[in-house]
Amino acid sequence: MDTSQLLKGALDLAVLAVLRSGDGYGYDIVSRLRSAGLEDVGDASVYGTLRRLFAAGHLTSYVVPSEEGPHRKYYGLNRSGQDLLERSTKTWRSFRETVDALVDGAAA
Amino acid sequence: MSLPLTAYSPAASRPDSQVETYAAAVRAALGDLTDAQRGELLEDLDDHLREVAAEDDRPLVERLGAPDAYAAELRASLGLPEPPAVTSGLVEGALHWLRSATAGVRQTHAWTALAAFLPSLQPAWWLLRAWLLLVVVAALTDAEAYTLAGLMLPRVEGSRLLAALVLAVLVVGSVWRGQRSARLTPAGRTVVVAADLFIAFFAVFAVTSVASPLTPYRYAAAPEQAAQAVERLDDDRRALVNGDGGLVHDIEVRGADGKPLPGPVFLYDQDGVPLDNLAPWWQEPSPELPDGRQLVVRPQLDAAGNLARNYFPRVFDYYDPETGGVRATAVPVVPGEEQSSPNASPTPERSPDAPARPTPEPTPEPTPGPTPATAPDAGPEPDSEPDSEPDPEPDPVDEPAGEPTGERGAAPGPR
Repeated sequence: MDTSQLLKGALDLAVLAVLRSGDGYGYDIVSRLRSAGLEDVGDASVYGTLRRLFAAGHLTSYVVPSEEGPHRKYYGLNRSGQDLLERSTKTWRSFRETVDALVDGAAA
Repeated sequence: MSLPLTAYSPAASRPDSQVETYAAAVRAALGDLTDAQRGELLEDLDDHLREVAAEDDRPLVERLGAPDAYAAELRASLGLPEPPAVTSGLVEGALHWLRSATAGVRQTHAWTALAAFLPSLQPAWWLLRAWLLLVVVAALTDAEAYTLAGLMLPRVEGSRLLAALVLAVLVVGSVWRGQRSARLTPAGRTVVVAADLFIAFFAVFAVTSVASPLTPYRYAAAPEQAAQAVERLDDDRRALVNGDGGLVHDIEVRGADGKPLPGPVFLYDQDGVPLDNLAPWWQEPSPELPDGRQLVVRPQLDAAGNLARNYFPRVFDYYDPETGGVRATAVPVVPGEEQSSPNASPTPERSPDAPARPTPEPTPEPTPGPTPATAPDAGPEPDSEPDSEPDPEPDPVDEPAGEPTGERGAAPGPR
């Protein structure tokens, strides 16, 4: 089974979930996703997802200046983002249970 | 394409310029977006890439892959539609095929390192193509472009100063075009790539056509025996050129007293081969006359009774390629000077029986130019009329009988 296809479907949810545990900037989000087990997630995919979610109004963003290194743009969930996270979680769980049932049924 | 066509930006620090280069390439690959879309969606792409670059020393291309692969992934995750179908050009289609065919190679470390380095050579290519374009222009306007001197120091319409000015314009244009290549539409890019390829091929062609610089003079590989009455030199026979790359049309033969030897003088090389392969006088710019006729070297009889063209100074006739006929000229002509000489300035030696003049040419009768070797009696022998020769001639020689030999004998040279 090609996990990249699965990942495409679930990446929005994964990003929202990561942001819920704390605001983050682009590369930081990528690292957190990777260390959570999504090792193959692409940098461009994460960046694009962040921008898309932001453009859709689900994220806030703010710039944190730093003395050395680049200024970082942090993203965080706003109200709309949290709602989306909850709805997406429900959808995901329901889908997962359906597929689980199918698989278990077939195996039985 | 793994080679980003970017607006080259000689930024101060290397990592930064790498980021800018990469970001510009990504933007270029998303060229089908509106400026507003691109601005909004890629607003902090540069910052993001800078962060990525800051985390690691490895080049961006190695960590993130080729810019256009990055852009494709970005396009998908941004939810954008696929780019418009490749109807935009043969070049785009070919490149696309090439991309997929070489995908394996392009993943290797060596390739990504090379791909990161090559963009820094782009400005050099912009300069080089400006120079090569100048050579193209020179080849169109200068007869002696296909020589080493012509390639190294091209001339435009015979002037090196003009060539320098043209070069300045071309350099500015080429660099300007190169810096804006990120904003090209696919169709525009096709045009630019096609033009670049043409220039590159032309360069190869020009270099291989150039005369060898090792010997200042060179001969055709197999000089022909000038046994035919009228014969045009083949296009691919080489012309005799001097060290400057100038074509040698004619030879001046002088005795020890400095006076031109009475002609015609027949010249042979050390192997007894006739020196008849001087520059074809009809190399560009061609002294073709308005009605399509051209000039041919009139053969003379040498001592052995053969028709030869290795005599000097040379005499030319009008040749009509349509009919294959030759009409003798009354006076020797110098290539390239026919057009400028007024018809009305015939030499005083002309015979008074004007109606019998054999050359009622509508075009100006050429007067001999700077061929100072022409001695008063150095003209062609009156009895060397081609139609009086026993040799069979492939072309009918249109030699009016009424031509006064007195004219011929006078063979006026420049006074």
